[in-house]
Amino acid sequence: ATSTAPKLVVGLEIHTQLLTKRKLFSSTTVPSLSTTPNTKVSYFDAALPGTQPRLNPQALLLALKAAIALRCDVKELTAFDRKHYFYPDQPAGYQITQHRKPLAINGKLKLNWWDLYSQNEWPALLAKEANTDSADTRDLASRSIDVPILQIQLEQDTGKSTYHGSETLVDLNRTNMPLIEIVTAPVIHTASHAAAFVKKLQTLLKRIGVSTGEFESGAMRVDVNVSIGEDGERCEIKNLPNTSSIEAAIEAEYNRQVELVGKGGTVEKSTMGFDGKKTFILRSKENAVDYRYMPDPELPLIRLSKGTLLKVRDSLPELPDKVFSRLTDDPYYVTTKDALTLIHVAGLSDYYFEVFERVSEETEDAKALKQPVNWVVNELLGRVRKADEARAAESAESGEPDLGAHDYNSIYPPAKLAELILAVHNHQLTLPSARLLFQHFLANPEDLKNMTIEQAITEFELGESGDVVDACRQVINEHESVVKSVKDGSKPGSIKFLIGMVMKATQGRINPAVIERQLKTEMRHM
Amino acid sequence: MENIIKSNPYSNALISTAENPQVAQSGALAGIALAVKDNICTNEMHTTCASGILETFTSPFDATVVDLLKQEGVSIVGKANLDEFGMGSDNANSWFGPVFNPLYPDEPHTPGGSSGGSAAAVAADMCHFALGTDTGGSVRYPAAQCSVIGLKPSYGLISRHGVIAYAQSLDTVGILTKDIDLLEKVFNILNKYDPLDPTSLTPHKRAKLKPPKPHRKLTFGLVKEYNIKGISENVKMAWSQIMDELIKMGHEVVTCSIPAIKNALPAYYAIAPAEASSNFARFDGIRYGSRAPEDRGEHGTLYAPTRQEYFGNEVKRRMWLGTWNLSTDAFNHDYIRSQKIRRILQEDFDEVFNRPNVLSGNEGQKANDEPGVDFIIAPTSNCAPYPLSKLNDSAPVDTYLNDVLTVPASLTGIPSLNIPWKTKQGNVGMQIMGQYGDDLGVMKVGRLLLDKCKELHQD
Repeated sequence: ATSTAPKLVVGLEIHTQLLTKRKLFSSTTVPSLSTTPNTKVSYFDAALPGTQPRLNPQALLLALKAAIALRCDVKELTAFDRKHYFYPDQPAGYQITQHRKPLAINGKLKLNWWDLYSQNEWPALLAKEANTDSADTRDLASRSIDVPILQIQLEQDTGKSTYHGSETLVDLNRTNMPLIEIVTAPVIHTASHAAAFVKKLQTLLKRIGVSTGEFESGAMRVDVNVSIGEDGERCEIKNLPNTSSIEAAIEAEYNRQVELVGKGGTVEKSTMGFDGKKTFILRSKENAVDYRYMPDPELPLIRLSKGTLLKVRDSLPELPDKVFSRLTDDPYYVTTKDALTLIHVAGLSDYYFEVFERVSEETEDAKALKQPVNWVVNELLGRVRKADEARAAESAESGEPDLGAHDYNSIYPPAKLAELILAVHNHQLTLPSARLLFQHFLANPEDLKNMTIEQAITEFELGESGDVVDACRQVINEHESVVKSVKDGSKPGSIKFLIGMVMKATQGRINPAVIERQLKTEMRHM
Repeated sequence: MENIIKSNPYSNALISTAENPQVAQSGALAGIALAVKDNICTNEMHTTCASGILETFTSPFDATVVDLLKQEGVSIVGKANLDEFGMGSDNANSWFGPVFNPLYPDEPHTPGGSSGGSAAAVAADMCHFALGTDTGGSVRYPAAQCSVIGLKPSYGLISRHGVIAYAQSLDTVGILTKDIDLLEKVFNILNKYDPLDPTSLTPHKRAKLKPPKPHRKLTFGLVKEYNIKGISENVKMAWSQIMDELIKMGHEVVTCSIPAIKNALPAYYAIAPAEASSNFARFDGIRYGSRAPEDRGEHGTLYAPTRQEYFGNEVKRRMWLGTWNLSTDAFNHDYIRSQKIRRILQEDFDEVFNRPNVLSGNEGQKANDEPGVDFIIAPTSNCAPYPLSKLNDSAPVDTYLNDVLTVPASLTGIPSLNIPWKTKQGNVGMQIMGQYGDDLGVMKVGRLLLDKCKELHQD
């Protein structure tokens, strides 16, 4: 865009299904996508006369979690309203939502630089930052933006209409499923930032157990409001199936509006569709429906005490941004790159903290405390990813990709990894031996479970004692002249040669310091 | 049953009659016959709301009140006629035809409404008691016109689960009978917390309700705003006779004022139709209920013809009014303002009663160290039942006028009991109102006056 190009203004309205066991105002268990249509419908869901709503407290709890995680002001008093419109998949003729007293307002979601760029751009950005002087090192951090959230409301989902020629089929399974609607301020100015917001929100809601955040199942649905300039008329694009189409649709709609205005036309408030390339007008909103909002006459007001809110806050897991700042600070001092890896792999940062905790209980040695992140990121994650890729390649042939979350605690218990790191630190094992043992354990979970490190060292002859003595003796025997020049002090530096030979004989499994000590002992005894 | 066969063809009190009503051998209500207003769901017989749109609708479940009474062995003999969805005061707005007052076998008179079928069934001894619903007077007024006892309980004491909502911030399930002992018995069976009804008073709040006072010396309020224009001389005489008798019994009568009463009717007609227009949006003929043939064809319509054809005129009139009240233009002016009036009215009533209101938390007159009243007594109806032929002369708005007497107790949620008081020109309906939750106290006063009335006419 040039400086004369009109400014893109984007606001988002995101509907997210909450991960409850039951529906919002009835005790019907929630259906899955494969549930037969119209089999998870209570009398209330079908709006039979004489039925009444009963708020599912679990839905309220999850909505509160989202509101707190998105740093909203949660209102002390919140209430439900009825929004009226006739539609076959809206059995009561109204939706129970929140209009006048929404659950929460004035939140924000911070998009860090790493949220705004794709992962494959990170190394280059980090490298550039590392190579510039101190004034520029703040550059990446300063690129973060806060997206204000105007309000979060708790509401019912509608049923689902499917159209078959002249027939419309209605499935009420989805009716009365709990949703939250998250509305952002119209302050996003690039399409990629809008997509980044949605991605970050998905991760966040999933992390705190509020929603699956999936587009495919309809658990997350995004409506995008696009206008040019702050005063431009808004057009709303509905039903965008994923983040890449959100980005593409915003760009397409921006181009449509710019082109329209360029031709002397005016943008009219409309609802838009997106065909993958272009946006098109679904309906003009000139004859806007009056929803006749009314406070629901029988649902009680909800009063939320400070105590309740504190309890909900305490129940939330630590959020990724917070984990990131903790990781890069005392006592962890993890590099930005590794910290990003740890927060973007589900469960990995918790795993790391546990390993670190156990190692730091035994030693304060700075070098030893660097080991947990190396092992977790490079060894554990590296190996698991390799296995994933191999499996993916295999199943690509059978057509069933299997990439997904892992339970690192069961793959390699953090206590066992801490033991291994400490064994290296205490010179029971060399690093290469430790790596060999680690790989063996990964491949043989039974051994990992049943063997102690000591047993493994003996069993696989990985110890630095044992064969180091034999190797030293052999090298001394094979290099008599060198030994002599070391012993008589004519060439003391040649001990390095002998150490190297022993290392070669033991395939580097043994710490050079241990070899040197052993060589000196052997030579003294000669 | 015999009485039903004898009286129903004339009075048209029952829309459906049970073919073989169960007669239980045990239970507190074994052998007691009940008629259920046809806007209360029963899983046997239709539940029509006297509307074309639910003409053949059968509910898959029993309302909580029906369930509780069945558990006590009651026999349900039929479903009582009503003004469609409870909208009306004469029981003339019914898809199944009007109800005739059984007290006037020679010329069709209105039984009052909207629980006209319930009141007529009790009056004609088709049942021992009937369930009605009272949103703005729909139990008390027909009880008055049919000379029976009718209780509108405190809002939230009796479950509304399974009661087809007209305006659920006002709707209550009421009891009509000739027998005050039976009334108390039935009330005690139904006065239970129901987790299925979000407006049911919680056990926590129920525990705060105080038992009725002993009747040594009570204070009765004569609220001047109830003395409206149009009250017949006979009703006025009955009213003052009751007050005199109370004084003779050693009680005190004080006059007081509740100024907000004069705003009650406009507030009621902003709130109730608004809620109704919302509640009735579900009747679209798609999932259940009647559906116009036009909507099934290829005319491009879905429900407009259905709703046009199967809703009656009074229902349509109130839905239009309610839809307007909720429109963005009118909402703040009409609806919000009416809710404020309602709150002021509640506070005004609390100012007069000497007991605290456990719902509003207001302390009552006691807080001001002035003697408040225990009960308020006022007419239920301004005049005796009139012939149906006269009804056609009155404009719809006229029929709303009598509501001034009954609507304040509905807006405030307090209990009100209609009792028949005998005069030379026939029975007059008088209502006893008490503080929120003092339903048993109201019934005690009812018994006192009924006994006194009997005593007076023994001579």
